[in-house]
Amino acid sequence: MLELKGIKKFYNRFLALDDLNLKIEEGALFGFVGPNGAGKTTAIKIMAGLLTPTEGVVTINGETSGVDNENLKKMTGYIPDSPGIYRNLKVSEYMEFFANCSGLEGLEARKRCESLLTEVGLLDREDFYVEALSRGMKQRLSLARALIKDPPVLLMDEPASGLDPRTRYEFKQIISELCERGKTIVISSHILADISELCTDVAIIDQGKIVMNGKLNDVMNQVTAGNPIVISLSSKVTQAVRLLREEPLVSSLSIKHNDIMIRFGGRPKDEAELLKKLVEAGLPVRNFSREKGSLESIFMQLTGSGEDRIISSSDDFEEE
Amino acid sequence: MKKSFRLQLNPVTAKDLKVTFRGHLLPVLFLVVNACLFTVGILGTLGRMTGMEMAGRMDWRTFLYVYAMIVMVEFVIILITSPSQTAGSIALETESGTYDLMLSSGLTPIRVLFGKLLYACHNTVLIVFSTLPALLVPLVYGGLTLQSVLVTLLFMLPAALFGMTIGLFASSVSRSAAGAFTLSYAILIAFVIVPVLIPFLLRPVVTDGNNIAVYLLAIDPLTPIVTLLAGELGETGLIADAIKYLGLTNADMFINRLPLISMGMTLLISVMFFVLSDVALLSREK
Repeated sequence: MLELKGIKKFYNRFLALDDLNLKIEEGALFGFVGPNGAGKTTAIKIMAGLLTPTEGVVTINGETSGVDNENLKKMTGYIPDSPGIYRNLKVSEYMEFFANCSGLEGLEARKRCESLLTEVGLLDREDFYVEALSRGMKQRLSLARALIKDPPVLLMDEPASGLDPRTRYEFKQIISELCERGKTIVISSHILADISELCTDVAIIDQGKIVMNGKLNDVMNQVTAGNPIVISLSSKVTQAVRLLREEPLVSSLSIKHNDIMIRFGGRPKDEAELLKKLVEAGLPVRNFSREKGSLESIFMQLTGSGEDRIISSSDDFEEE
Repeated sequence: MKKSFRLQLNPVTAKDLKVTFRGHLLPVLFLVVNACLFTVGILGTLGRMTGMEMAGRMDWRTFLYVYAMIVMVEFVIILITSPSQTAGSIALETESGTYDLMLSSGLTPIRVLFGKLLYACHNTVLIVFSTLPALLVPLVYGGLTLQSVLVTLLFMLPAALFGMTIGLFASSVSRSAAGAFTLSYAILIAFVIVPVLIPFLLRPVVTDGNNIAVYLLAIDPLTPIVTLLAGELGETGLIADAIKYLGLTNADMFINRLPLISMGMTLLISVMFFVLSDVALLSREK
């Protein structure tokens, strides 16, 4: 089990993490979600033993971090958001280098590397130079590297960012298999769809604080009447956005193609008034309804106060 | 069963050597350094020989000055290039994200530093000893033993180590390679110039022949090689005169032992920078 107790982290005077408390059960696939700058990477690095918290303690299977966080480094495999590569080094040499760093040598190291490369589907590319691999292959190589020590905990910082859908799917398959083998996996991401599909547990972090934490189903069931309203339009989205921005009860806004998702702080009567305004403005409203519970909607509710536009996943809003 | 002891090459050193030997930088460096030295050596030697032919007399001692010139050229090249061998080491690993990967794989900061230093030392020792033939060119008529020449080469290594540890330190405190390069050369220039500048500036003020700032010469990385060469050329009097000029008299023991004292200080400062590099890297994790 991975446990964070009272974790605080200051960078000079800036408080990056504020009293983080988390318990991650063995074998869980834990999603760590938050906007940019929320503190996800700092928390992941603290769990990996790469940063020392200003206050608080991290324990893995009952063992605390130890001198220079050596226990954490022994028990975790870390995959950063950008896979660090070396020029002029082949895939097999890259793996053997990190195997040597982990204390494996000679034949033992070579066998371990070969088996891991087979597992991630890169054995046929072991003589390729690392820099020649595609982004997806580099990420798989990064995963193989993190598994060298066979750590009980894997920490992944934005593992699927920059991957095409097929590669993301394959990567998710590998992660699921690792979880079935009993590994505890912590994934930090802002691709909420992946977290919803994969994770058993989730924590939402914002401005260094955990705002929600628990089993994914329990978190999803906490949907309240405060869920966003989805307004689907045939066209004139720009006009609709302009009108909605002027509404005092609309606190934030998200656009995906011709659907506008708003946080609306009014009662049902106010919702009816809003719909009436949209129709009277000549806007072709196809759908106006409260969204069912989703991780995205909860994320929007709990984070990003003051923003009036969030781009969901990687879709861009195009001006008409 | 007890595991047998096996000497394992530092994985960082092994990796860096593998990567370097695939590139062209090291052979080019060998070529450039030796080309410079052979050019200086051959031109200097031929020039002296021509001069002697025209003068009609032989003075083998003049070849020693050509030898001294080659040594100084080589020393300056080694001193100038040594920080660059390590200044980018940690900073580039940090920029590319591989430093964190090494730490998470189980390496400690000091092992990473040691690996980088060992790699740089390997290249430097190869370059220094590859120049042996160039140094011997002006000695075709004799003048120094092979042993003396080898000692001269050995005296270059502490200065190279000095530059490399400064580069390591700069790389450990800077987040960018460019910053590390700038800082390392700033520190090196300070150590070369300040120990000469301070006694020189205090000279008009301290008139009792007790300008203790002269002792700062012991930390100047140029001092070991300059004093060694002066000894080999039989010009130790020049060193004594220079020290007296700077305002320190009655310092015979210091002057006589200056090569060893300065080499010791150079090594000590190198150790200090190495330790500071480790402290800098450890404080990054806090």
